[in-house]
Amino acid sequence: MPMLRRSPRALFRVVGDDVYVTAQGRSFDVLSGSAAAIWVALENGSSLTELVRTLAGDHRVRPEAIESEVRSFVSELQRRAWVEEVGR
Amino acid sequence: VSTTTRLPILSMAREIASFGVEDAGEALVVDDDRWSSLLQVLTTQRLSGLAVAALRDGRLVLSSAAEAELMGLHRGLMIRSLACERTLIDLAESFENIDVAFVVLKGPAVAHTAYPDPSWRPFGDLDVLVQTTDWERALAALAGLGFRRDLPEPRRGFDVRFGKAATHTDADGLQVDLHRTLALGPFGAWIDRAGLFAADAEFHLGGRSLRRLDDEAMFVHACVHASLGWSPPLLLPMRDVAQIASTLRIDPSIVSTRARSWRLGAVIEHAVRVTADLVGQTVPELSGVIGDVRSSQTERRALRAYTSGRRRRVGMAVSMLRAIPSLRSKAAYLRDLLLPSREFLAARSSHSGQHPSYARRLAVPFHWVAGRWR
Repeated sequence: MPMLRRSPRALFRVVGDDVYVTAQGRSFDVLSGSAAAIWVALENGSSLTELVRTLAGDHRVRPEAIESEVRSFVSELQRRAWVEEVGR
Repeated sequence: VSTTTRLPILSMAREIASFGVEDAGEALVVDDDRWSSLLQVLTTQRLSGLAVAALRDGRLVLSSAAEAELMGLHRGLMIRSLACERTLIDLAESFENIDVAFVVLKGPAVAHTAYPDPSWRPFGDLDVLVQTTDWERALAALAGLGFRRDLPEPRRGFDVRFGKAATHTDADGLQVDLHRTLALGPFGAWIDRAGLFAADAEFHLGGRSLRRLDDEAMFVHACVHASLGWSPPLLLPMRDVAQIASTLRIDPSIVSTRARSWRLGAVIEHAVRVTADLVGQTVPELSGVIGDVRSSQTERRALRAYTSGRRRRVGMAVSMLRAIPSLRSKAAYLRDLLLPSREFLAARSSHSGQHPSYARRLAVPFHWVAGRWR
């Protein structure tokens, strides 16, 4: 199963509960709430299954309840090249 | 937790600047009536990262309103730091395209190497070191990236003979200081620039491999910045000295050798003294890393031009004049400063709000000499 990790090309700072990530040029995006939680959980790399399990545990919900949302957000992060897949 | 709000504002800022290095004492509890003054100092000294870290650790206690203001300040500085990093990546690509090697100084290099989290160490501009032989091409590359030089060189050729750095600013107000040495005046002239450039190491940022000063040279540069950058020294550069000493693997014998070779003994002694005073005399790393660094009388005299009440451009220029080796070069230096180009004079005057005047410029050293006799 492929591992997900933050792209080394992504420049970011964690500020309080938010994460600021640079996009193209000098604009930036702010990840808040569950988006920031996903970013933080990817610090050391994780498979999608592990990621969902970790977040579900943190938020005390069933993994099936959040899997679709997590998968969708991770896809968006990959589209922006902020997260990439690496072989295990 | 106890209330220590009667401490002077600067003492509170010094405690915050020491967070994580100094032995943990009582938490610093700041009342709202003193917060706005402290916030001003945290802003000017760029200490938001350390303040937020102290807040998270329970070493700094603020009201919720004050906490929100601190986070607002920190957010702004982090956005600025990210803009600097993005610019650094662009600059690296541009310099690489024309084969200009460079070394990243201060901000990003220190934040990503010596601190546990780069957010502890905000920065608002970029400093990059290039070799004198690449100076002109580096200037052209910066212009290509949309940066304009703030001040022209006093006369053609001054930069590559006597200059320390040239500040460039882009349309967003972001600044890049292009360096060929580390300090203004004699200390910058004494540093072996080729040796400095070769004293490098690698760090990674934005998926790129970049060059920084190696651990010992980074420590020496932090000392230079703390001692010579501002008088009295700013808190963040002093914290850099303590941080680098306590987290990087510094070989004291290399520091001693470079201090002797680059004639920076007095600068390092001074920086370590003021830093030890900031973070507490018990920090063993500080005395451990400088080995047997010794200073000469010439260095101590030169240092006074930066650190005493005599810190003036003329005082530094006189010290620089002493450091320039040949009579011909001394004459060229004097000519360049006293009779700069009209372009330089006009730019300098627009910065100070005065009309350009050679007479006023020529009068400066006479006023300085007269002031010394009074």
